[in-house]
Amino acid sequence: MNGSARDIASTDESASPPAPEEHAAQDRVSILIVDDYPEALLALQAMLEGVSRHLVLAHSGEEALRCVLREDFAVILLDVLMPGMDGFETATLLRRRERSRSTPIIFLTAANRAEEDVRRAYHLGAVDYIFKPVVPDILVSKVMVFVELARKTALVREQVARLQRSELDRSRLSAIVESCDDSIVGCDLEGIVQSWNAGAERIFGYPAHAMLDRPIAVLVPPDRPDDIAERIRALRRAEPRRTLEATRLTADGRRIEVSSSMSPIRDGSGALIGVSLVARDITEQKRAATALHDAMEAAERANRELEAFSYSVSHDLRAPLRAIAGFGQTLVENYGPRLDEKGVHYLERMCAASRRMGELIDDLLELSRLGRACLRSEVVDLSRIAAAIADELRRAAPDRTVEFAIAPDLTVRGDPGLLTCLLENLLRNAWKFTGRHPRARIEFGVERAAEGPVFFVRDDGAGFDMAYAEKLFAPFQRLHGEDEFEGTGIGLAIVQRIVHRHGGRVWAQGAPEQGAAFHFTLG
Amino acid sequence: MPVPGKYLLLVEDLSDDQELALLALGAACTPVPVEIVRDGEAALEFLLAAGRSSARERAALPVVVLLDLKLPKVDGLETLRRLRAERRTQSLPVVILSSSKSDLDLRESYRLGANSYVRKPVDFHEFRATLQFIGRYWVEVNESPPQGWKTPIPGTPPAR
Ligand SMILES: Nc1ncnc2c1ncn2[C@@H]1O[C@H](COP(=O)(O)OP(=O)(O)O)[C@@H](O)[C@H]1O
Ligand SMILES: [Mg+2]
Repeated sequence: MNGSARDIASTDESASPPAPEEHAAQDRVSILIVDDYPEALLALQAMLEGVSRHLVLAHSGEEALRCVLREDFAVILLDVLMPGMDGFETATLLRRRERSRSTPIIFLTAANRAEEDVRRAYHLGAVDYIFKPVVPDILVSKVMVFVELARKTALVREQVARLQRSELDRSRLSAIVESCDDSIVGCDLEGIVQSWNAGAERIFGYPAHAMLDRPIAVLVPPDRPDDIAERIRALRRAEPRRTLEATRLTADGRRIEVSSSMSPIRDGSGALIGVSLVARDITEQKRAATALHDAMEAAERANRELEAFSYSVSHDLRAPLRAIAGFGQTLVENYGPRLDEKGVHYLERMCAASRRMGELIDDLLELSRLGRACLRSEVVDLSRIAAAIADELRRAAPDRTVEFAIAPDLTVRGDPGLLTCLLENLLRNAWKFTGRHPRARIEFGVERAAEGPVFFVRDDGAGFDMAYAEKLFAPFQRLHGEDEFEGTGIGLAIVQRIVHRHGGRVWAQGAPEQGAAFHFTLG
Repeated sequence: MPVPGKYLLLVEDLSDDQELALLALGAACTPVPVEIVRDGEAALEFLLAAGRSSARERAALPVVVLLDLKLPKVDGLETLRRLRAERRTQSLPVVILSSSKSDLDLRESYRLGANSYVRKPVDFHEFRATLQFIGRYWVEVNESPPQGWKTPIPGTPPAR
């Protein structure tokens, strides 16, 4: 209903582009034509079609005012003689509006009223007038002037905006450069400093005014080759750039280590005009790295010493033991009859002690070897290994009643040799410490925990007092006497070392005569 | 009954170990004569100079050399290397008799051509059994290579 009324009113408008923001582009210049005669409007539209593609038509002063609310016009053609609000009134109101305050207005006026109208028109700030009936050529050439003017104005405005934007970029960039912790220095191709940020002042100790227009080479220690000049030359030869570490001299004569990279500065045509040097103070890092390297070397030296030590332990400590054991035994065998019972007993104690010391030495060596052996990573079937150990134990003591419960298919990634050694120690312990019970049950299984699988070896044997649970893993620590259960006390230390080398942890649970459980993870 | 002409060379610097070895071998059912030298240099002198000097030209090599690794002057591995470089002793049976079971020693010994590697047990019963076993094996069981036998390099065709 009111839709149809609007349709008619806006027939002409619909020929013009709708949204004002689309007029931003400089070639989209709009012209507003105001005339109460539709025929006149159509005629004017036809004449100006070649000048601009955006012609907005208005049938009255009121409509014209609405149009200028929506968009900017390069020029307004305004009929003077209109019913209701006439051209002059319209122009007066147009001038009051912000958007159309300085839009050029060309009045269309009848020739017979020329003198009077022209005077008023100029008074109202019109820029030109055209007599009716309109001569197309004159109309086009006059309108063309303003269209061109509008185009140029748009162009200038855009350039100004772009300039402002790049000014903003520039100040943003220089704010970043200034606030950067790294030293950022611009040089020309002769290595003369052109810019010097706060980071450079902080790192090298020179304020900007002390360095501007001075050669950057003052930062290079005199006894070092001038890497900066060398790199500028390399950049000119278009060689690939790389970051390097260099020694620099600060204002107060300290030597610092920097990591330094250089990039080219080019002008608009791409010609190399200077370089930008970014440097970071890595003195502390270098010091830390050197310290680490020293520490590692010391550790390696210690390791080598340990190796030499255990080698000589195994040779030199064992030789006298062999002599004690050997001669003692020979004494027992060859001269035993001449000794009384006590004498033989003492001699046998000596031999037993030397044998035991031999075992202790062997175990100690084994433990130190484990710490150094390199780790393999393979899929290892723990269940199969456990079953094989159980078989061996049963075969060695067929008269014992021991039930083994081994969970099937427990596989892990790890070192097969070390993991066998681990299970061997735990299962042999379980076997040993159940030895005083008429029947026993030994279990190998897994529990699923948040940290991953937790394996365990559990028995129902002698157990131990939890107060000492931590101690068990230290070398030579035993909770049971040698005459109760034989052993050297190195087994669990070996177990712990193997577990740690796999990135896991191991812990013990037990109670006297209630059995023991050893849990471990493998990383 | 001692086996005529057959003897065993022990290269050992520790007099304790020498004596224990003699005790062990002397107590064997078939006592084996033992020659003893105290270091690698003496061993090389004994085995190689024996071949060169005309007076001892006919002197036979031992049926086996029991070689300790840790020796003064020229150590065991170096002694072994030099023995293997000489035509006369190239295929002479050498048993390494060491205190160590270091992987490195083991590997080096075999790489340089040891025939066997035995670790000296601390326990005398074991020590004795081991030495008697070695003696029996090399003196009674094993046939020595013929004099001047040159071990062929694997992969080369046999000399005609
Ligand atoms: N399954 C077990 N039951 C009871 N006690 C144990 C068990 N396993 C280890 N222990 C205790 O931990 C000590 C240290 O064990 P280990 O290091 O293997 O040495 P060893 O087996 O030579 O005694 C043992 O002497 C014993 O007191
Ligand atoms: Mg144990």
